[in-house]
Order: sequence, then C-alpha cells, then structure tokens
Amino acid sequence: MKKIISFAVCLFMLCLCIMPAAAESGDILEIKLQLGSDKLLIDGHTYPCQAPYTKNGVFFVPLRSVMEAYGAEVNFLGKGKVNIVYRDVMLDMLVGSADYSVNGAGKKLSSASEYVNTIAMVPSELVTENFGGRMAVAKDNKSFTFILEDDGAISDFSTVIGSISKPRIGNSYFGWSMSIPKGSQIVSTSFSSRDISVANQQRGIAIDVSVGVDRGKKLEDIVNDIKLQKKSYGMGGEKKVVDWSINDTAAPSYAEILANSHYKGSVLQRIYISGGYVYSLEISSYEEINPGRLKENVFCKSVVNSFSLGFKGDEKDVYDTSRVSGGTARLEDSVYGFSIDVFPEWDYINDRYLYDPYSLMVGSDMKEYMSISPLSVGKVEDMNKYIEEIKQGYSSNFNSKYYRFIKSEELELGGLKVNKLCYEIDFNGNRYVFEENLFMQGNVLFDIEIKCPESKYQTNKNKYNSMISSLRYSAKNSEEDISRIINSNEDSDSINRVGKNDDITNYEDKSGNWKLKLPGYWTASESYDEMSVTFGNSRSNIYMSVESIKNTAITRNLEDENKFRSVSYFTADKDKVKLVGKKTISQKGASIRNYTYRYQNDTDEVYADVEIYVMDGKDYSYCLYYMVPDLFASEKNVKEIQDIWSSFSFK
Amino acid sequence: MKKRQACVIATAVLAALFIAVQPVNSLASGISIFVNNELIGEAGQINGELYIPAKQLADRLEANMRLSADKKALYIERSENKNTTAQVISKVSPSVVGIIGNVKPGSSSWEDGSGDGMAFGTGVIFKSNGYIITNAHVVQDMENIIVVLSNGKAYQARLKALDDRTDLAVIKIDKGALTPAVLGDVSDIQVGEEVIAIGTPLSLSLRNSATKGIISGLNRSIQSDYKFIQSDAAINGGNSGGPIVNMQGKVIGINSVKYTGIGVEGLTFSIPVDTVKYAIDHFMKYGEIRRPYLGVLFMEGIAARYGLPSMEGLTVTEVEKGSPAEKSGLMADDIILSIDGEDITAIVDFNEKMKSYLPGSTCVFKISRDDVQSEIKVTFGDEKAGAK
Repeated sequence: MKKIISFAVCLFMLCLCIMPAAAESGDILEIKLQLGSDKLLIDGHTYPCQAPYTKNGVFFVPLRSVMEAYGAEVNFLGKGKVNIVYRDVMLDMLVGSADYSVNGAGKKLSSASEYVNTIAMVPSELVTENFGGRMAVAKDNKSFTFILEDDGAISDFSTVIGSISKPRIGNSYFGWSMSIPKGSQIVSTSFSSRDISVANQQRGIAIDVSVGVDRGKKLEDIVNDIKLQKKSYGMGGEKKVVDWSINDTAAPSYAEILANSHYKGSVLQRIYISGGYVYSLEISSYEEINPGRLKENVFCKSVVNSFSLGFKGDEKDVYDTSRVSGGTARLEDSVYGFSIDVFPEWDYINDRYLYDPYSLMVGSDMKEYMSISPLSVGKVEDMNKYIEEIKQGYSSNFNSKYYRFIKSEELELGGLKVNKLCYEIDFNGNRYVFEENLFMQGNVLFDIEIKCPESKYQTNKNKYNSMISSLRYSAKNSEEDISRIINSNEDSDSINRVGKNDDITNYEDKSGNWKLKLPGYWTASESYDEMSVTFGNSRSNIYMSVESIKNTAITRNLEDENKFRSVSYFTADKDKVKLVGKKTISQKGASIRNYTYRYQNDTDEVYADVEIYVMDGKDYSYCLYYMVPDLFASEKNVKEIQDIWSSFSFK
Repeated sequence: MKKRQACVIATAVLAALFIAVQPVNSLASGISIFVNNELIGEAGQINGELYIPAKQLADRLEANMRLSADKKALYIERSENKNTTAQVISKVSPSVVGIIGNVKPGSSSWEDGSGDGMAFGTGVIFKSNGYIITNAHVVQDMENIIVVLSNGKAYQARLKALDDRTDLAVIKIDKGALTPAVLGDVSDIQVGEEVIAIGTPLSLSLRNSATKGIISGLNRSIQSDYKFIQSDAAINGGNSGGPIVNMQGKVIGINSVKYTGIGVEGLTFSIPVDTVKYAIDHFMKYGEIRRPYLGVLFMEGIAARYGLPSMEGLTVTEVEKGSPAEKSGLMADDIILSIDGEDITAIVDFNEKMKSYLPGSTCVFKISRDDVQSEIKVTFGDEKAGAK
C-alpha cells in the first residue's frame, strides 16, 4: 500500500519535472551542417564529421554522424553492410547501392550511397524519409539543418505505472470488460493475464478479475465451494461468506457473495460462468467494514454492474490487458531460467517452493498439465538404451490393464533434439495420453512430461510440440545446483533404505514384537511416537504401514477404528474411501480381521485398493495396511506386496 | 571546515597579489611561511618588505604559476581541476539517468513480492547517441524500461547487453546529442580521495541525488567474481547502476547495491571503472562479454578466503576432460602461481587477470607441481563453446 502511495508521489514529481522541460526549445533537435565543412553543430556544440557535399543536386551527408546525432544505433557489419535501429525502424543497407530495406520491405534511394575517405555518405532523403524530421536548406543553398521536432520523449507512463487512462479495462482473450473509477492503476497482471489486479487509491478499493476454467460446475456449486472454503475462485484466498444470492434474471446470470477475508478485508464478489470459463470479479476494501457497505457504495456498484462479457479488443475506450498472442501466453520462470509459450488457461499447479524447487508444473489442473524437471546431470552416453530402460521400468511397474505404450520417436523441436515417449494411462475409466520429452540442455537431461485427456490429444499434440519448440533456457542455476537437488532426493531415499543391496531383507521391530521381510530397496520410516512404521517403494508408489498398540484394559475393548490411526483415517474420509469388504480370516495362528477399502481421489486421480489386517498378539495388537494404486498393480508389484504381508509375523 | 576557509582566504589573497620577481639573493629574513600550518619555506626581506617564494606557494595551493611572455608579470592561478562538490555534480548530472520499469511477472524479483510490480535504478550515459551503462540486476528482470534524463524527459529504452558476473548491462535510448560521462582511469582512484555518488535512491523523485564520501579501499573482493572499490558515500536501493565520480567529475566506478548486505553501514561497493570499460568494450564489440575458457575448478587457500595476504597460489581441484586446461597439460593438484608474470593468489585475481584475454588467446602459467615450479603455455577456449 505504501509503495503505491510513494509511486503516486513519484509520478507527481515526475510530471513536475517534465512539464517545464516540455516548454523548452530544447525539445527540438537541430543538426546543422554546411557543404564542405567538417563540423556538425548541435545545440551550440560542434562535433567533427566528414564534410557533406552535393552531387547532381542531391545532398550527401555522413551517415553515422547524422544518425547518431538523431540517437540511432548504427552498426557497421563489414563489407559495406550497415544496420540502423531507431525507435520502430530497422534499416538495412549496403554502401554503394541505392537499394535498402526498412523493416524488411525493399526501398530505393535516388542515388547510391558511397564512401568518401572510408566514411559512408548517404543522400539526405534516407534520413528524413525513414527516421522522421525534415531538412531545411538555407537561402545560400550551402548550409542546411535536420530538424527533428519529436525526439521520442514520452509523457504517458501508463504502461509502467499501470495507470489506466481509459474509462474501461478488458481482456480480449478471455472476453470481459468493465468500467473502473478514474485514477485506478493495474498493480499486477499474471503471465497470461488471467488474473488482473487493479487498485484505486483514492477510493481505497482493489478490483480483481480472475478467470478460471469451468469444470462443468453451476453457480450454486461454486457458491458452495466458496462457502465451504473448498476452493477460493478469485484472488483473495479463503473467505468467510456473510451473504450470497444468485441472480437468474440478469444477463448473464451471476452469483453474488459478500464475505470477509483475512487477506483482503471486506469483499464483494460476483461469479459468472460463460464459454467454459468461470469469471470472478472481486471488489475489496482493505478496511474491515461490513461487506454489505460495498454493495451500497456507489462506486463499487457502478463497477460491478458495468462488468460485461464478450469483449473482443480494439475498442477505443477500453484498455486491453490481454497478454495472449497467437493463442499462447509466454511463461517466464526465473527459478529455472526457462521461458515457454503455454495455453493462456494454464497456470502453476503445484507449489514447488514447498516440495520440489526444480520441477515446474503448469496446466489447467491435474488432468492436463506440463511438468518440466531435470532428471540427471552428466552426458547420457546411449540415449536409446536410456529410453529402453524407462520403457522397461514402466512396463514392469505399471498394470498392463491401465497402461499402454504408444511409441517413441526422435524429433527436432525448435533446435532441441527431443526423444519423445508416448503412452496411454487409464485412471478409473478416464484415458490420458502421456508424453515424456527428453532433451539435453548443456549437461542436464530434462524431461517435459505432458498429460492430456485422450479425447483432446489429437487436437493438442501439435500445439504441445510448438510449446516445446518455444522453450528458451537461460541457465540461471548452475549444473552443480541442479545435481545437488537431484542428489538430495536420492540421498534421502538411500538413507531410509532397509537393505544395503536389493536382496530380501529382514526387518524387525523389537519393541513391538513383530517382523517382516522385504526387498532392500524399500524404505522405512518410523512415526514420531514410534507406534508405526511406514514402508515405501519409490519405484512403484506402493506403501505399507504397520501400527502396534500395547494391550491394556482400555485398548483391549476399543473398536478397531478407535484403536488404530490407519483404520480411523480410512473410515473418516467417506468422500474418498469406501468399505468394499470385511471378513475374518485365520492365518499366522491368529484370527485376523481383514477390511478392504477402495480409495478414489478424483482431483489428484489416485485410485487404489487398500487392504487392512488387524490382529491381536500377546502384548500388542497390530494393524497392517497397504495401498496399491491401480496403475501400479502390476503382477510383479502385487506379488511383492503380498509376499511382504505373508512374511509378517508377530508374538 | 576550518581547512577549507583557510584555503579560500589564501586564494583570495593570492588573487589580489601581484608578486614582482626581482633578483633577490640571500635576503633570508629568518621568517618561516606556513600555509594551513604547513611550513613551505622562508620569506625574504628587502627594505622591511616581505617577499614570498612564488613557486613554493603556488605548489602548496595546487595552483599553476605562469610568467607572462614579456616576463613582466607572474600569474598564479588555482587549477580548475579541483572542483567544488556542486560543480562536480552539475557537471556529471546530465550524464546520469533514472531507470524505471516493470518487474517481469514470474521473475525472481517478482516473486520477492515487489508489490506494485515496479523497479528502478540508475544509469550512466557513456555514448552521446543514447548508450547507458547500468547494473545487470537493475534491468535483467525489467520490462517497459524507461529512462528519465536529468532534465526530466523520459524515453523508452531497450536492453542491449547484460552480464551477470560483472553485474553490468547496457541499455539504449534513441536520443542523440546527449552528454556522455567521462570515464576515469584506475590510476585516478586513490584511497582517501573524495568521491560523489549520484543516483536515484529509494524513489524516482529523488533522482540525481548526490552523496559524498571517501574511497575507503581498493581491490576489495566480497564473494564476487571481480574486485570492487569500497567507499563510504551513502547509497540505497535505486542507486544501483549510478556512478561514483571523483572530484574531477570522472566516473571511477558504478555502484552496486547488490553487494551491500542488510545491516551493513557506511560500506558502498562500486564496480571499478576498468571493469566497466572492459564490459562496455565487449558489449559494444560482441554484444556480450567473451570470456576465455580454461575448464578447471580451483580452490583458493584459506588465507585468500578470509582475505589475508597470501602467496599460496590457486590449487587446481578438477580438470575437465577435453578442456583447454587438459590440452595444455594442467593437472589436478597443480598450484597456479602466476599468469604472464602476474601473481595469482585468489580466484578473484584469476578472474581479473582473465579480463585481458579473449577466447583463443595464449598465455603462460607458472605452476608448482610436487614443489617443482614450471611454466606451461595455455591456449584458452571459448566459454560458450565449453560445457558451461
């Protein structure tokens, strides 16, 4: 907030500085030359130059001296080639030729340019016709002046400070526009311009528009999500809904929500659904006023009522915030030093600062995304062998019922040599195509993984390729940094390994009087209270946990779901977990209660079978459970986990 | 303050004095002459009138002494070289610009939470057709770069070249007839010399603020690739990229706030003018800094790491396969003592020395291997073509 004020002050000061300057005659640039004189005069200062002359009535002037006095960048590229850059003009010419080009379009001079004493001399028309200004010739026809009235100074700072000089703002890609109070400024725009934040200091309000992708939800569903704080829609984070209503008679219809937010104070929010997008318009006051007052406020009311859909751009009074061009938006990621064109509907979808600083995931949601991550540092000697190993890893770890390999190919995408692997995965009846795009960047092997619903893949696959082609890398992190991160992940796995090699290893928990056997590459970690041990296999994503509870007068009579954390977890989450079977079996010399659960997480698309075994020993009772995701339920993996369960014994 | 007053009085007196030079032999008066309490010589006395040795006096006042052609007049004139602070600032200011722009969404500066998405800094015009040098960290995450001249006029700028390791960048505005700053020379920089920092601290409204200090030290290395000038001229965020000038109004360095830590007071680090000239030269010629590539990892001695005087040399810890280092016969555990006769004791020395070479240059390394010293000829490769 303070910053905004300081910038308002700063802008004011800037204007103060600028106004008197604009009145000065110094605004006009005059470059005086005289035929036969080797001096050039600007603002009373003389500079040496090659003397100008006339030839067949054409004034020839020294190219570099005059153009640099204009302020142009003059690049002599050798062999007579010259490139001049000035404002929006890029001029290429060859000394000795009359032909030249401006921004790629061919043009012709009345006479060819030429060298005099190795200095490039050009007909004066080259300057005035292409770079603005005019040439005034004195009566004596000897001295002449280039006069440039517009020296390119800018007085409109709206692009920098985000101040909006137009009465409305909109977004031509996402198709919305609305009126904003005078004196508003855009304080932030997300890379794809999906999220726009506007502040109005005078009124003390913030206006945020954010566009999400519709997942077939109705206004009622969205209001419910916001009320239950399941999803925030918009930019203010979770909020406490005070009042809400749905206006069906308005066109388009909308939901209106009044809420309090920790982050934003009082909020008036409107939600619209149209063309596959969910639009959230939020007006918030930083002061903790009753949000109802926002609804009454004349400015807020006029802003929300002015919101309309269908803006397509190019309207005189609407400032277009769109950052989309050619159907994609450029994502610049400084953590990686990557920049890449992606669909404007995409956004970051994982908080990699918390989990994985070297994996960049963008997408619409977990159903369609692109994930960029480094796999290893160091040259890969045999790429074909490497790909073959990945393929084999997949076919041995994935359940063939849900996994199908499609193809692998080698492509050249935007100068990158890419090895592409395609396969199909079925998550609970929803089929997806996965791509792994492997390429070397310096010494780092990167993987761009793409997940796309099969129904959309044919339409999108070429777009993915052009996204990969658009990738640019500026290597902000050194290879040492990257390899340190990759290694730290591997290190934590190797520390927790149960065995030094991959052979079957005995694992014994002496305090709980139980033991089991499992391959050495499984990891084990004990809970903080030492009552349970969780085993994991990072290769197959299967994990298992053993919990032991001392038998006491109290614990003996507890129901399983009150006694064991694992059982209580699965019985509590009724949305995701369903009990599908319950039986008592006789094994290991005991009577064992076996619960079978089905775990279904549609958001993250995790579908798994869960087996829970509960048994009573002499001093302890035990609960062993394992979770096998469908995708990883290959014959080999299922046998492995069943063998581990078979090996479990207790006293 | 007292000193300055005395000086002013002395000058005033001199300006009024017309000292005739007469053949004065052995007229010792026994009267010592002090200027600002410093003995400069002995006065002569003729007919009760005191005569002062003009040469000594002029020297002491750093003035020029000139005898007229007809040898009938002696002029003592204070050198214009030593300007007042105000003169220096007004001389340099037209070459100092404010830089303001938006922080690129998604960039690290953006994620730092710069709130309103704006950033600003300072730059120095070094070519009259709008070339400006500034810090790399000022402009690398900036879009919509706008340059505000000392007269308050603003121009759109574009990034021409940038180098992280020197923290220098060049931007360009399409405006001619500007006043370029005069770049000084390393030999212009002396510890204790007064310097002025000009910049845009904290806000653009403070554009062309000037602060004064003295050079506190030279050849400082603070976890950076290159050496710095240390001074006590106060600078703040936004001063970055601005000049530090000496009292002749020559730029002797570019300030970089990047290397000033939180809680550090009275320590300003500036990129010395020789590094600035090196970067400008490469930027204008190649659009980037072209560094020679060797392909080794070094370890500096513990003394060098703590900034202690050290003669240990640099120990090679790793030689990359197929690198120029390997081709010239450098091996792990070799100690590099000097390059082309210049002692190398710290990595920063090595980097500084590398400024004088290009990819493809050759030089002679003096090394110590198993306590036996020898010389080897090294031909550098291109850093870009190398693995990094």
